[in-house]
Amino acid sequence: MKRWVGIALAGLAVLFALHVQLNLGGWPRFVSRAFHGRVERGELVVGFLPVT
Amino acid sequence: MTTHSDRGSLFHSKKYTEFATIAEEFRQGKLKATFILAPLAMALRREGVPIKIVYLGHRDGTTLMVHRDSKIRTFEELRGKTVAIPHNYSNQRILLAREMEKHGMEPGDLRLVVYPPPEMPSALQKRAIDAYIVGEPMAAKAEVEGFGRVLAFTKDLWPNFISCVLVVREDLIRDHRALVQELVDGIAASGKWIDAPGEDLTPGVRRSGEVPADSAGVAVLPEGWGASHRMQAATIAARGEYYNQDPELLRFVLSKPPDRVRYTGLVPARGDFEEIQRYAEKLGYFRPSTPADPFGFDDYCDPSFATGGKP
Repeated sequence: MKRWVGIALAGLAVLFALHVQLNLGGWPRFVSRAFHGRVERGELVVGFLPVT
Repeated sequence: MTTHSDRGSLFHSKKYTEFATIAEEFRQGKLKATFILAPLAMALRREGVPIKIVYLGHRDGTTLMVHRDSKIRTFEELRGKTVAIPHNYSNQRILLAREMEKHGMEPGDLRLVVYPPPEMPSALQKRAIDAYIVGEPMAAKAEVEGFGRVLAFTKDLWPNFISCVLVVREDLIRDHRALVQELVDGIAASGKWIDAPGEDLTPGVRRSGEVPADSAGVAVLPEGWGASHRMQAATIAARGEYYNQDPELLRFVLSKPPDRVRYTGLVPARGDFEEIQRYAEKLGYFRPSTPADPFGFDDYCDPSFATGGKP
């Protein structure tokens, strides 16, 4: 049981590091493009408030 | 309707309920393009967020509303009253300051409170506020629902009034200039289309009675509306993913009066923004420009996209 808890915690730590790195732009471009690649694919999100 | 432009790029609109959230997501870089209040865009730039205003959202289209039964008939009669504004860094607040100067009123003569625009009509109805000033359709909503009365249209107080502007992050301009140009071109074309004559239907719009079996994503013109471009625009804008309002409200906004809001003449002009900046600095939106710490139009605005990419 302890072994599985350890593995799960290690996995969470990796996910957290991945999250931090992606947001800091520290990963190779091809990885960040998978997560932040919309603009590279010719897509753009445009924000608005439904008021003029 | 299609979210693909003629050149094949995909533009997704993301709806927010308050400007503060948009500003925060812009600061964090989560959002790269948005419509936002002009002075708020300038304030973001002044605090160092790398953004540029590249186009206007519209001209005019903001209205000062009072309760139908209110005794307030002139701007001066707002003295001592509570007026709701959409944000402390709004052009609506600047307009009020301009009018107060004209009428010899002191800064404390109006009690200003910030309300998210969707909450303003009900606040007026409940008499929690005496007046509100906001962009359409939240102003017209009180009028259409019968409890609000127009005290003044901004087009009559400050002609060519600017409220929302299109802002993009500088990294988007640097790395994807063509995409930004496509976005501005599309918005500009939409503005010209709205006021162009004719009843040719734009893709995604159908007349009542001509709705296909698979009508998801189709905007249906209500019976008796006609098919002018403004009516088509009202039908589209009323949809859930956009304004999520009764189409009759959008029809009212785009027609009563016809110049209540305009979608042409949207090139960012230096003189317009320098006036906004003067008031914004006076009201403390951001630290004033000085010789040692200059700040001006060229810092927060890039009008080159509005001229088709030509400087």
